[in-house]
Amino acid sequence: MVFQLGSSLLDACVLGVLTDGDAYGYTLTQQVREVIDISESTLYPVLRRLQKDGLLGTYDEPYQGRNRRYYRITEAGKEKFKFYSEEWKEFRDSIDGLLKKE
Amino acid sequence: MNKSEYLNELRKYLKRVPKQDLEDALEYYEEYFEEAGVENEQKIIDELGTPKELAKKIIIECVDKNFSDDYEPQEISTEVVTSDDKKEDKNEKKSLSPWLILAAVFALPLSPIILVLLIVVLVLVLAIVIVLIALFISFGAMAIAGLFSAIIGVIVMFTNPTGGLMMFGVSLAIAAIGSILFCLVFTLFDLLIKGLSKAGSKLVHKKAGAKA
Repeated sequence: MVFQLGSSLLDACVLGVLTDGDAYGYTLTQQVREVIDISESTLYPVLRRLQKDGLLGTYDEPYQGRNRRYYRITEAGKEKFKFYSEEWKEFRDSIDGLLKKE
Repeated sequence: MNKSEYLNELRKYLKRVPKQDLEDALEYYEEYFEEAGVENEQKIIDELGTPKELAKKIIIECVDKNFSDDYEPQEISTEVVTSDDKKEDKNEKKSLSPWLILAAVFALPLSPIILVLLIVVLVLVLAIVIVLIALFISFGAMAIAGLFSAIIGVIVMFTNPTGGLMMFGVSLAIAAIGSILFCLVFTLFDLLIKGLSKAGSKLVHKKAGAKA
């Protein structure tokens, strides 16, 4: 991808994926990676930050004798996601407006 | 390098990170490897970069997380923080050492010029710290010496009242000035460390944020 991905957009993507359901680190990364070209190590700091801001919560579930840490979106997270998607729509429309002049 | 070698090495590079953050990070990547499966182990290792590179990212995030409160652009205030969370936050803040910030600053992708400048600044700071320590000791000694000679002044008063009284007074004044300067240097020292920690984390925040 030629366009730079800011941290807010990445936050929005993670929140967006988790809006569809809880996920654990690996699947979450793979889901985001299907759309955006990020490294496997990008998401851990993002998840930590969102967690610290109270936008995500975690819970552990046993799986084949070990733990899986699931991430789930909180009410504050949903609120933030709503804010992000509205901001994104606005941004996308104005960029579209500029690019249509081509 | 296999998975356990990789994680062991990662642990080594993270030894300055607060314990809880270290365990969280290692658990996360341990789980990550497990989920990816043995067949993907090598691929993941290649993707994650060297343990050192991964450790850098985690250290930067760690410093950033502990200090970001001050710099968070408050877009909407929907955050619900329970009292428990706040307590935890405070604890983490306390355990964050200047050494960790130093490690994070050097972990940043900095140009050679900035790195050299940084080293110059560090050397200057070291010089200031040494001067402050010297002043600290001298003023302490001044206060103690003043007290002792005040006592001697009292003894001298028995043989030479005027001279003894004079010595007593002057010594007490010296002791007082010594103590005041002692406290002043202490405060300066404290401010210096706090200011540097803050400046360091600001730098980490800016640089790491710009990169992300």
